[in-house]
Amino acid sequence: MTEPSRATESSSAQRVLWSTWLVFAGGLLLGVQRQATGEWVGTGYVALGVGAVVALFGLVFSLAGGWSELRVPRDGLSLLSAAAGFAGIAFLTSAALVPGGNWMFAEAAFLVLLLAKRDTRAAPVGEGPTLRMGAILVFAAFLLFRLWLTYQGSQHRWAAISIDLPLVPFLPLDLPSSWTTIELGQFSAAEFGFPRVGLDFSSTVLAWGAGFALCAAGLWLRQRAALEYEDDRIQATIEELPPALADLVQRVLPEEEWMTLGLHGLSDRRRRKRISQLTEARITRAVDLHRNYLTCAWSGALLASEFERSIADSVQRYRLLAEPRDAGTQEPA
Amino acid sequence: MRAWFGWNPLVESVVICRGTVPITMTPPTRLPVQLLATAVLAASALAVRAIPDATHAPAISDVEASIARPEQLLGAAGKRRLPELDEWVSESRQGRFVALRREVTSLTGCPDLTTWLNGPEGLEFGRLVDELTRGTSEEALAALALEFQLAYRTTWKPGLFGGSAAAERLGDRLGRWLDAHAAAAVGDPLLHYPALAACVLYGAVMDAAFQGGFFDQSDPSRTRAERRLSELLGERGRFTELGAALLNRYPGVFEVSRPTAGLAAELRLWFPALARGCDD
Repeated sequence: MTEPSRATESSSAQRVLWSTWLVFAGGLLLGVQRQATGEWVGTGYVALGVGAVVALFGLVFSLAGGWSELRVPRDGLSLLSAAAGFAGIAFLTSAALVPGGNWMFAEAAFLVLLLAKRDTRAAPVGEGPTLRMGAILVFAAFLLFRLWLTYQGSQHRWAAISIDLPLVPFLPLDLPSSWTTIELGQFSAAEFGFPRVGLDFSSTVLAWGAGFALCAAGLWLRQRAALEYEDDRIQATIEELPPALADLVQRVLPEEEWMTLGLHGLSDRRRRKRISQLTEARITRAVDLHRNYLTCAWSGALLASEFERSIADSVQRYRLLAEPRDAGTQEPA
Repeated sequence: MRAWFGWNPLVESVVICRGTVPITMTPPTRLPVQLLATAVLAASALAVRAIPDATHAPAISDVEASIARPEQLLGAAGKRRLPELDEWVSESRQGRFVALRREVTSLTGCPDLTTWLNGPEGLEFGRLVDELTRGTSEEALAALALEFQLAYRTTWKPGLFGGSAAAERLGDRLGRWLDAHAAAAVGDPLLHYPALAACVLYGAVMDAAFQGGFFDQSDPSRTRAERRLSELLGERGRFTELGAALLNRYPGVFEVSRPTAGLAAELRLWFPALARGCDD
């Protein structure tokens, strides 16, 4: 392996590790809340469990119709990256979901649908669940709603919205407040796992906001780092060849196409075999094309349109380039 | 022989259970530390979720209570133990106490609480209970036990068409007892649990007064009750010792919109006969 590729690979591996740290650091902050007496306490495992289920279903549904694309992590770092991807989505979901009632199920179903819509350009399945930017925005919107409810709870208001009936206060009756106000979306402290002595909203929202940002950034970085890391593995395989051959293979199989060609997530043996097959297929195709161009014949009188003439000109130019220089041909204009 | 677990810096791989897992492409000297940091971070992210609530339950004195299981005196079957209190009431009031407890425990027919309190026995009840409330801890317990027994045997819950006066009256009496003893009762092994039970009954009674009947709800009752409870118990984040003790024993109290509703729910759970109302 040459030194430059080694350096690149090292930096991609470092990025995978960094993204993993960001995800788990975010998870750490999303796992705590500050109670009103100043102590930091845990947010419990229920929400995380729901998040894990959402991540799992999202991953399974994203595979629907594409099980052949399933790849398993091929080394420790890929495994770590996939685990961080799964954990990151579980953390984000646990933070964003309203942790009880009908809302939770509605939100969870929506998130599963969102995660099931996999971005095939982002990463192969074996590199863990992927998250589009749109999905991150939806998570952020859900988090805002959760924070609003948390704020209401921290103020001892156990409803999402309280609407004062506009006409009732003008009636000359001393009515109880339950008759003059409509409370929508009632919830309880137990549903939200609030500390028994109350919640310090400002500190908690700071921790959750920072945790969400770290986790989302970690997931975004992880997807890119995982792609880069896979590209480095392919590059390392190609560089096992003698330099001239490696250069040829890289021209035949450009790096931009490696993922669409299915080179990501393969074992060493299958990757070598796939590179070999693809190179052979592309070179065979190129040779066939070359022969066809050279043997292609047409009658100039039949070229009626400008389009036909331009194609014929390009073939002619190709012939001039392809013919040996010592044949005395001229450079095309 | 191959190792079961180890790090091979030459081929940059980890050996786990005789299988080699390649962890390539990072300088081998740093990778174990980085993986360890990752593992610690991941474990911490999971472990912090298990940190329990830090509650501040006040300590009860280690001194044994002069009367065993005093909270039993407040239960539906407490009338069987009421004679135990006779010896703890001062001699000057003992005779009146014995007569009154017999009178209260033999009440039948579920008379209206306000009506009964306005009668000759009720006036004597009011005078004696006030005296006992100002007395020793045992006498205060005797006063509270009489209040509870009266609540079991009279009608104080508002009917369909309202009439929360009886509930207001009972709530007022319990409130005065709480004002006198609640704060000091927290560390008192004799009055600790009875004071908590008194809070529960007070909140439930005032909740009933507020709810009233279908056509008669009373916001002033709720305002008054919530103000008193706020003074006695504090609020989330600023609980008094009594509030913390109540939370410790009845965790569901503050999980609903109104503390009085939470206390009413606890009354239904712990004192179902009181919550149902008198049904002789």
